[in-house]
Amino acid sequence: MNTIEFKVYGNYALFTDPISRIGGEKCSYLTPTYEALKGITKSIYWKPSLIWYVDKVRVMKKIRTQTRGIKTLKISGGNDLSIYSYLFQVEYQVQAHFEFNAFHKNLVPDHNVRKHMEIALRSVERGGRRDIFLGTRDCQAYVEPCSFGEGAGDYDGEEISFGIMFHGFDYPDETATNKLVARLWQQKMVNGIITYDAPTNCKIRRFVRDMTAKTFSTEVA
Amino acid sequence: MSLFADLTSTYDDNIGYVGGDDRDTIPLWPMYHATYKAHVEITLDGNGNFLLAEVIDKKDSRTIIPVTESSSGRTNAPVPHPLSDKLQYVAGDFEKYGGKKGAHKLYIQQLEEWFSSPFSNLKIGAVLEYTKKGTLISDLVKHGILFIDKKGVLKTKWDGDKDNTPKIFKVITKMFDCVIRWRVEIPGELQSDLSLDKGLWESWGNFYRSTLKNKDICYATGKMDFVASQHPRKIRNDGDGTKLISSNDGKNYTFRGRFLDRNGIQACSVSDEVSQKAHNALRWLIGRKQSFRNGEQVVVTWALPGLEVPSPFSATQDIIDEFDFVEENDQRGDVQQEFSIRLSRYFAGYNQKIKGNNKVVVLGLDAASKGRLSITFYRSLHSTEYLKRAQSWHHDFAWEHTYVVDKKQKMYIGVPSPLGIVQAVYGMRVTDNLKKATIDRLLPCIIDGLNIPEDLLKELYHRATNRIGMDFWEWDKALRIYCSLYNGSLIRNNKSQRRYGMGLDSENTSRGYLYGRLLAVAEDIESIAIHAGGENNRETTAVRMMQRFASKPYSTWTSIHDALVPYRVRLKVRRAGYLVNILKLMEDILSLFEKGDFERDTVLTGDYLLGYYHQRKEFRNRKITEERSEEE
Repeated sequence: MNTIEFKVYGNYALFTDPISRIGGEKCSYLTPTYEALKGITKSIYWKPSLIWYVDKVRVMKKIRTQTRGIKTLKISGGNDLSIYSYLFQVEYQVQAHFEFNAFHKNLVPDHNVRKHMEIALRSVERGGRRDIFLGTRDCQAYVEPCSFGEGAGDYDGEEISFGIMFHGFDYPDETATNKLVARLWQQKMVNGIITYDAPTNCKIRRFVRDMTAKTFSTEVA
Repeated sequence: MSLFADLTSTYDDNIGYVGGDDRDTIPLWPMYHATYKAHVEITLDGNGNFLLAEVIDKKDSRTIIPVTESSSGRTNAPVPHPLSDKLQYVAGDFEKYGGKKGAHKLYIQQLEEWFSSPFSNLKIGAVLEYTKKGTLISDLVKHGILFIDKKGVLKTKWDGDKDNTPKIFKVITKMFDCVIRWRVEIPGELQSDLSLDKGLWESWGNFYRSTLKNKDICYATGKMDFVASQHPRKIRNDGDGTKLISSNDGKNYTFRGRFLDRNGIQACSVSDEVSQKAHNALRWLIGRKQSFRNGEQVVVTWALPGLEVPSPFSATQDIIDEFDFVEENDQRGDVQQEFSIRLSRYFAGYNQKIKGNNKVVVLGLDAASKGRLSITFYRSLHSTEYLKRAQSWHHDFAWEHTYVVDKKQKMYIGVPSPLGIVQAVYGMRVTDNLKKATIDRLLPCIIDGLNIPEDLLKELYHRATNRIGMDFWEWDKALRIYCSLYNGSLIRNNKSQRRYGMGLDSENTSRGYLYGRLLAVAEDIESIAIHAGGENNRETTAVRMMQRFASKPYSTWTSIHDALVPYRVRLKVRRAGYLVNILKLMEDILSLFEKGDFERDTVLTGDYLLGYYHQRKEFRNRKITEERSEEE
């Protein structure tokens, strides 16, 4: 199977709610978005021939928020003052799997399940090939291998609905269309676990703008 | 965001409250309307003829008027409100009387569109007819509402007999900004006040929606609907210019990056309906008595569907209304027990009231800059869970606090107020920013069941130890609040044992506690001796050495003990009986120390303040009983 399981944890997380982002007073969603976790998984290991799919996440620690005053920089110098609302002391167990990206036709020779799986597992053990961050870049995090479902979590036995949340983006390099599309869905946590709809199953889609994909080839340009 | 979904459903559930009861409270605005201050009310008949006019009292001036997105956000360029507006818009003869930049045409044009739409209404027709005549200001002058000077220009100041100042000069100074509202008398129509006519609200709402063009997915509901391009202001109060949702930063880094547009539409879209309903509901909730305000900061709590719940900051006495003030020398065990019972009873009762699957939302808002409001705290809990946590807050952190009523000091059992905590920790002259930040830090303790942050406890420990640094009442408060917080933090840490009651624990052998008791004993000996000697009240040695005592108890105790010698001599003569008892008490306390504890000269833990408090309370009770027996 192409599934990896890992634990990601850190002191702060900021999964910004788009409604609050446009004003600049960023406020975090209470649980991670599909896209944020996909980003973390990609930071652990990624190659253009892969597409990672996040299956589910388990919230281990009690959801706590903390607000901080931020001096945001302006393009022409000087700064603004904003108040950001972060999640504090978070820990998640994640289960994700990969499939091959049919869009990059040049990379078909690279479609070797065993090779990528072994590198991925090694990368999880090393804590990821690239820096891990929870939402925004200033929320440093750490990754460790784990067995999904092990241990006691703070939300075992509880069910909470979070309403409509951002799910992720459909990028042109994964959908073979030259559009950037946003997906939304109803995020719900059952027994501490959020089982994400696969991107193709998300019913609420919103066109953002036109975008073209980067192409990869095995030749050096 | 789930918050906007919560607010929207709160609006829907409270649709009966739309418009409000009286003009004094903030009403729940109907969609596509806002409240503005009106100064003059003009009454017309069904055909648009002027009947009469009246100047509006300040307390009746808050008027609901229809608005458009652009008119409610207007700054310099003239954009008319649809119906009621300033003279600049509604009066055709504005410039004739000295007004600048009349925008009458724009007003008429907009009103005509509304009138000729399928959502029209007879009353609008009347207003349209009248305003088209262009005689508004001259009619008002004719009827003695407005006044002109010799040059025929509108008077802005009354220069005549001061005792007979016409009403208009008392309600407005910038005369050219006078706002008109309408009444139309049509036989058979009950509601002649256009600002309270529900049919008219609907008519405007339907017309306005028919003019909206852009549709997109709403990020709060996930549904396709007309989008709002601008969002409302005036959320926290009538003069609030901040917005909760805004997207005006086309230049800097706020949302640009993968989004290439300048208005944030690519980043996010919120439907017009959600924007209207959610903001109106929020404004209404903040305007109710239950919101907590501290400068720019607002914390509002409510139960869907709009029911009232105890606010996280309510004082314990406000909740348990039949709670009498406690007499100081009441049997300590009973009072505490009774308090617990009453608290449980109160919350059980509340649980009954809020039956079923109800959510409680706690929302904290603050503004770091002018123009933008941020969400600093958002929790959406099941109602039973919320009540459980509120109860736990009141229960864990309760202590005896004092309250002055009719110049007499009374005591009650309950939690300290959040402002009280901030002032106790940082002093009376705490800056606003620190106040806000600390209250923000206390919210998770009240709502999430977390423990008090350690640094607050430490800070308060030092302040309560530094008795000579402040006057008695401030210190007394600080000590009581420290006991509240320390006690509560112990409970939250261990969840089982080591809970101090509010009365003396004579079995307790912990080092800090016993040292605290000793300090109280030393203070008592000296103060009784001072009193017995007829001297004026002064600081006892114990009090003066309190700070040193807290860091080096053993060596300081020796100094204190030695200093007591002359007072003991005096007491032997004047209060022999008392001296015997108090020395015995001192011996008893000393014998409770565990081996080696007394001689250790290390800093005392927080429970020394509790021991000190308890022992002093014992002495106060004893005095009262003595006084009582003397009276008898």
